[in-house]
Amino acid sequence: MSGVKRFVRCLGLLLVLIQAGGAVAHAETSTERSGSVLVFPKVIFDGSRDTFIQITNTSNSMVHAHCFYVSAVPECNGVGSCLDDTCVGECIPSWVEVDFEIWLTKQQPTSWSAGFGRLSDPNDSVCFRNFQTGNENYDCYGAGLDPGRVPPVSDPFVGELKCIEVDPSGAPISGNHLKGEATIVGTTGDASKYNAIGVIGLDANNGDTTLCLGGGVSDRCPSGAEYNGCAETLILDHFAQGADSPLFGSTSSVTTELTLVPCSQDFETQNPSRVVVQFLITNEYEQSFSASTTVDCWANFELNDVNLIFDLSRLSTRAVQTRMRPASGTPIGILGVSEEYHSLSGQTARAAFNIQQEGERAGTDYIVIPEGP
Amino acid sequence: MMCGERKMRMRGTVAPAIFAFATIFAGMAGAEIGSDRAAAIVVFPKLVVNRADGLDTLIRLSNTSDREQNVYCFYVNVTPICSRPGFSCFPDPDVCEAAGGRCQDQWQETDFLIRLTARQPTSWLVSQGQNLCRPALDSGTCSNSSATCRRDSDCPGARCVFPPCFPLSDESRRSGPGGQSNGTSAIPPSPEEPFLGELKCIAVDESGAPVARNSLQGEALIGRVNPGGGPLLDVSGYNGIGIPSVAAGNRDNTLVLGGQGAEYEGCPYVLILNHFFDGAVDPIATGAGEVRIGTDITLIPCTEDFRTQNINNLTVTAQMLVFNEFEQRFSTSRPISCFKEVRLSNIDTTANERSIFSAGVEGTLTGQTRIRGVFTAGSPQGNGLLGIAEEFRCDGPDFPLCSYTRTDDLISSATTNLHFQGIRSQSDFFYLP
Repeated sequence: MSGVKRFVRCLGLLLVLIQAGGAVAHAETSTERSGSVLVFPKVIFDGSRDTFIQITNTSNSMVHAHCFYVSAVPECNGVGSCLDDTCVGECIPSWVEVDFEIWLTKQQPTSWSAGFGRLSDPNDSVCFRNFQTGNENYDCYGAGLDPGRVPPVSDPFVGELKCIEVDPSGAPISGNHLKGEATIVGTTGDASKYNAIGVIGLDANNGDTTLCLGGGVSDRCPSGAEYNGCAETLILDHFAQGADSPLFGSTSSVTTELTLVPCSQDFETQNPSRVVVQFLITNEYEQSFSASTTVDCWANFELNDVNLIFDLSRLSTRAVQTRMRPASGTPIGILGVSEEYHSLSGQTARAAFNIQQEGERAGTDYIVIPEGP
Repeated sequence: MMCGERKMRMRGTVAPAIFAFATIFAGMAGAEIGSDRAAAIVVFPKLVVNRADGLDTLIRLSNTSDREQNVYCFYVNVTPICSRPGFSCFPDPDVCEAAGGRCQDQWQETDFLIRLTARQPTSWLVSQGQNLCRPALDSGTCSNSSATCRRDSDCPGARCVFPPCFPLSDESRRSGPGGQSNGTSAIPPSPEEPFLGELKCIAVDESGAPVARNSLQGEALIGRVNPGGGPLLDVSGYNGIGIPSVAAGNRDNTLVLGGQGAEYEGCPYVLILNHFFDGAVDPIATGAGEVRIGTDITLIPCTEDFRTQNINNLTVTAQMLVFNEFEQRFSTSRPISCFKEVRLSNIDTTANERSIFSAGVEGTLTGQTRIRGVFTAGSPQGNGLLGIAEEFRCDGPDFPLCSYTRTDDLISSATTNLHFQGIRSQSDFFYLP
């Protein structure tokens, strides 16, 4: 009788594991569920805008994360800067990563500005309102349990941030305890916000320095997929470039900026990944057009920079659906966010969107992190 | 062997182990409802219209499949009503109360049908709705002036901009490449103005019966412009929340979300919001003086009864756990009847500065709030919740901070989709007419 009970218990445990594993195996990356890898594709610090990062531990245990800023600021081999077109000389593409670690206690939220970073300072002034004296302070950047020392990004900076959940020794784990948001804030207070893209970890994670996203067993991934794969297709609803915004009348206009990063990244060799991205564009007349571009490590561009087919004069309709996927034979997936700029009479307002996704890539993407001490 | 002697020794630990695994993997499995993939139902929890103050919402809806798709949509009007005729409770309830009236809740649905051709995107203003294009009758506005036009040649050096309309129909004498059309599509303007409410769109077949096709995705953009031409220009956007179908179902008028006999994915067990505590000073926006931040949250129950419009069973108690950056935990709760749009620091009190969502009380800049609809024994539905949050940056020195109804000090807003954790084991329902 007790044997039957034991069998039932074991079966129950097995079913729980199978069910959980099954559910995980069929998910892709997510902008709404906690993941083991967080990707913030667009981080800006350029004098007029800064990016506020929020990361939260959604579990009841301590969580460690290894974070990587990837700077995509082109180097000017002369004088000046390539970002504000003051470079006298040649702009040379450049990708540099800087990494750091953070620790989050149970359910702890943390935050920092990319431009300021965050010090480990227990004396940060806290916000308070004293209801006895009426004294108050609502300016409390850095207050709370510091997650570790977060370095500021270079000035200027364009690029991405990736945070990977690790154990205390620094080995990647599939805890799926991290969620995050990025708010791109102008010095005047205009803001746009997107959710970080979460890559869900699987139970086959062997904890080595090669993270395998999707796919099957291979020499590089002896355990098979350690994380869910990237989406097969990204789908973006947007306005045709230069179309009016019905919200602001016929004299307004809208442009869309797209930020794409490859799913594969090698932080060990800093060898940039290259992806050819195919665009399939459908207007309201159900007419289809196509275009393509190449993403080297990180790309941020207006849609018109890819091809003028995105212009209202070519598409003829205001609303557009664009499907993006890596070109056939390209072994690397893509992730991204979009940001719309609505302009009227010299003013501009911004809104960021997470891009929708469809399917999961059959192949494997690899994130290679540097070896520890 | 695995379940033999070794398990015998682990007898005392099997149950905890199962619990631990279930807990760990519950987060991993997550809620399949999401705003980042196409689904059979798309929910837009917050729509606002008040053109007198330059406020409107634009909806974008897109068919991601290569087949045409009929869509059955429901506006839910929750604009509060003033008990005194001729006075308004929205956006400013003081107008009604100053006239001796009382603001009363409203929950009224208006539905409509549209047809999207293969991979067709469309968009419309909630204040205006959308009809089939009528090239012989429609007039537009020049892109460089406010002059009325019928064609580009009426606007020298500029374009003639027409309001949004469905382009493929007999009336426009145009159809899609496969002969598909938007014929019979019509979207009414918001039921009233000013308007506060939500929108749900459901994939249906030719007969109007729900179909298990995950082919809809959408976004909402909330725009504000100073009607007097002042400096305010603001836009924020969020993705529609997609509820995917999981089985063909019986295609009747009761849609089952999660639980036994699920036709669609169940609602999330917990919603998670990362936010600034209200009143906190934005550390980045220093160019405009001291910029303060306030966050509004919009919550709706997963269960909705469009058939009887009976709202008595649709009150869900939302339990909220709040964590600051010191790992300190606070909690509060609030009943959600059909729809709730509220400033975080007004959830637990009317005095914002005394709220557990106030930076002055919490001590830190940001926090995490976990929101759970409470399921009670005997409840006919799962009591799940869905929602979004909108963050406002204000040029005001103190509470009350700006919002979409108090725009004097508004600098900008940013809307975000909430995170999800877990799936409800109990069913929620949409009852269609």
